[in-house]
Amino acid sequence: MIGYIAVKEFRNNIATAGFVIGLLLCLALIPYTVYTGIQTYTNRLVQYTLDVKAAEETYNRACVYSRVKPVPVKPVSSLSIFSKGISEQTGSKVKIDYKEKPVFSADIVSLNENPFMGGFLSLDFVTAIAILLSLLGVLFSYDTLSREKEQGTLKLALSNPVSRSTFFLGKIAGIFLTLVPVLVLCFLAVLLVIQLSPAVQFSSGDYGRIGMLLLVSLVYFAFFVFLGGFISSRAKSSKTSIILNLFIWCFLLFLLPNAAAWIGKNMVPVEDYKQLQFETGEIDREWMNVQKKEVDKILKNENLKHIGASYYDGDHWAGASFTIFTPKATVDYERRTNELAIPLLMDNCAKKWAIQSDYLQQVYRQERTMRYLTCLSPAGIFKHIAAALCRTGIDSEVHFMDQVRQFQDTFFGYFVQNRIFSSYAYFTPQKEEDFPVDSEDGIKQMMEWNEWVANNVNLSNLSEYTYGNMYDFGKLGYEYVNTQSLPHFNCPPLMLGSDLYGQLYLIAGILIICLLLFWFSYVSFIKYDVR
Amino acid sequence: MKNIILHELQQFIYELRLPIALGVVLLMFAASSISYISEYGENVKKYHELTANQEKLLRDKAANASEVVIGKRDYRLPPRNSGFISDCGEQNIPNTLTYTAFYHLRFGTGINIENPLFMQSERINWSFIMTALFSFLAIIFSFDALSGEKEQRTLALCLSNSVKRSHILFAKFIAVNIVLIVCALTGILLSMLILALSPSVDITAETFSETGLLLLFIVFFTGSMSAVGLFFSVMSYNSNISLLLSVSLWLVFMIAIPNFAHTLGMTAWPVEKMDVMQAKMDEKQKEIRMNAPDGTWNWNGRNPFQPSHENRAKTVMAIEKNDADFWNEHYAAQFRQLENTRRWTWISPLAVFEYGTEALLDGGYLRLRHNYNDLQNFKIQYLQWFKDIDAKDDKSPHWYNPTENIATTQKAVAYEEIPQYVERRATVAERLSETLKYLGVMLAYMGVMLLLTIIRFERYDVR
Repeated sequence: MIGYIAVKEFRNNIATAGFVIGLLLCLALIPYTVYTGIQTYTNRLVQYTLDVKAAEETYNRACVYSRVKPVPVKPVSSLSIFSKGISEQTGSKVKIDYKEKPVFSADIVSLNENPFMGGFLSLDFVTAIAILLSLLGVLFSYDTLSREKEQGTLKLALSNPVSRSTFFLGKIAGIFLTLVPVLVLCFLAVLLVIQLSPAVQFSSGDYGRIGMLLLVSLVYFAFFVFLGGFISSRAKSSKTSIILNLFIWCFLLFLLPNAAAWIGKNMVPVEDYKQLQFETGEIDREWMNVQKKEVDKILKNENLKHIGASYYDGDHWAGASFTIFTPKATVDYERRTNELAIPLLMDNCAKKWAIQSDYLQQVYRQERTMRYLTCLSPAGIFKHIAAALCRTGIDSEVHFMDQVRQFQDTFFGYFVQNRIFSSYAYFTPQKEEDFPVDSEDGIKQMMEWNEWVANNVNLSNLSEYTYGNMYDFGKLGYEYVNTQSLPHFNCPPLMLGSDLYGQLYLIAGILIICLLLFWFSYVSFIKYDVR
Repeated sequence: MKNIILHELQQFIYELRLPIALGVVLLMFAASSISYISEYGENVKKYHELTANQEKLLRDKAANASEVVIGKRDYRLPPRNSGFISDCGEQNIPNTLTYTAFYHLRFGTGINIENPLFMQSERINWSFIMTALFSFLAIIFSFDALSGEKEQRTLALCLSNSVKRSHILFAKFIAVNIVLIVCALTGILLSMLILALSPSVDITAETFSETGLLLLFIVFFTGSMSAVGLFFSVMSYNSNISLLLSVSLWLVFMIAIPNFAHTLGMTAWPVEKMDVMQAKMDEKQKEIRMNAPDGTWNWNGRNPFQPSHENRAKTVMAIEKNDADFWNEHYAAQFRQLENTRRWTWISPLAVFEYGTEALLDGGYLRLRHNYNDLQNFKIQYLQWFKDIDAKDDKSPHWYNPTENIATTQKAVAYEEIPQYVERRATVAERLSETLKYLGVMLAYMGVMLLLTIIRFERYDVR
């Protein structure tokens, strides 16, 4: 009997203008969001490939250890086509430096384009589904019972030997029978478009996540159907029911998530990022004004002197980061500078991290408050779960950054353990026995090298012998650093289980609310007095 | 007509939608004001901290005038006290400009979002309440104005009386708008009351004049949106259909147009990506570097009159000019892209309302843009100030170098003498000229929608 009522409802529903308009809206918005999602993903993938290549090149083409600079690049989640989460607000890679730990990932890809266009929305599939599904759910359930009451057909229906629960379940099943295929069709259409796009590849795990997303979408959709059903069971007219439903829909979809996030943000204020930079900058200024001078004093006491350099590259923090054809006295001076300065700078890095981690804790606290408050809206819950499933939520970002910071400790820990900072190889590709004795000898060596380059290397294609702004000395007669033995960055992605674990309370919350709404509408209908 | 208006208003009073609407409106206005008070106080505190930091750094540099002019300075736009009316999308665009006396202007595009780990959301202010809630309310109050009467067959009865059709339509239109404006006024009054009680927010005469003009905007805006609802109400025979169509169009205005505009802007008026532009700039830079005279990069000792300093100063100035040309052209293209895209979105009254509010408050992109222009002029004065100081120093060879302080004056300057950029707020005339443009568009929108509705209603056959 339930099936019979459901099929009848289904037939009635698909003949309505609401179904046609809803379907048209889905057909217009969903393919568009998928198209833009694929475009964005493809662009980010291209950028990712370029970044990885550049990072490998920088890593493997260094002739001195100071230029071995690992750049962990954040993998692009192919599921970002479904939900972009915070992926467009965070950076794509992180530069590792012994002087400072990274707070956030750098190089926000979207800022590579026009930052003034940030005011325009960029809708993703999940947001489109969240808006359309909820609207369809409300539009098909608002008059489930109220219209029958209004038209007097409910009395007739209940006078038949049909139990109220059968009638109610049949009605609800009819709505699901009408709209679940629409939802499934939307997902299938997206998958079809994705299959036709050669740039997008999904693993079996990804399909599992898409399946989970479909399930969560169903629960989210059920919330609005039950909400509509509940209001319909209480309202006397379908007009009252639709007005109430639409008010609640607009409030839950557009007003509450924004209001809650804003209130949450103001409840837990976070220090300005520029202020953080100033505070860490104070440690740097103290280094320049006090500690660095102490280092200079030790060098002076040890009678070490900089007597000029031929090819020199360095900042004002420690000693040289690259030098060649430089007199031995200067090389010794630079080696000792690095030996003394870098451990102190690493200590400063730890001091800075104390301030930075305080700031990060503030950021996490604020994010949590905003997230909890936005979860007062089912749309907020849906978006957060979707972002976690699509690996574009905060958990993925925090996991990546934690791994990067751990790697930074391991990487420079290796340098310290193997005394690389205090070695010549840290900043010069020349062997100790080849160091020039004085400046004249250095100039002589450089001229000889220039001659060797002129005879052996075709410099018409300069880019082949340079990377970034530096000469590739590995192609100009010197050896590359063997990076095989150095620690390598590896960031295994979070498993579906751990992604879901963080969202369990949200899933449980929305399920309980759905069940409660269903129960209330059921009880309300059972107790309805037809007189 | 007066009677119809009164009758319609009476109907609204007895209906459920008015108390719900009023309740939601009051809730949103109250939440926005309370939250704004804490945000504004926090923003002012942060701004003072930042300016104090900047002052400290600049005071340290003042020991050497050359250090002052080559040091980068950040200009962060101060918090506006009209942010409760609209944030003008300022959270989504750069809010800092970086410059030196030589160095070209750059927009700060680092961590612009205060908390990058949270999905971006809108700030709740009057403008957001208008565009998200009132546009929806306008539809909710007008969708069944005529279709409801058609459905209940009362329209035929009504038209059989000696009342002009246009009068019925206008009366309904006016009644809906009276309700909406009463709701808006109540919300605004509540918000003003809450803000007035806070010591941290200044409500000045300017705020009142801005609010006054905003009310005019609100009248046209609710008028436009209710005209949309009425149009669909006239078009359909069933109130459900008119509601569906109106809500669909509302979704198009609210979601589809701002979303599609982004893609359209990127496709129709493409702008080179920043890294591509930078690669070209670097190429040109390399060329300049390679063509520099021999010995340009020799830097031995601290003798300011060493000839290589002059060559280097000239070369670095040429590099800086090259970079400035690239960046200025890049920004000009980005501005063009945004302005063209915005023009396209004028088809949505929601977008027009936002742009109008931005113009009225002199905020958002318009504020950033005129600060960009003003800072370009300030930079010229700033450099001239340095040149005047440098000219008085006999020990300086006057070879201006944007990155080095060796061949220009080493004298100290008083911090108070260092030119400070002060934001010039747009004049009333400037604001009005921009605002009236959007007001005109909104009026045209409302006029066209009403005209279409009248035409359709006049042709309506009651049989």
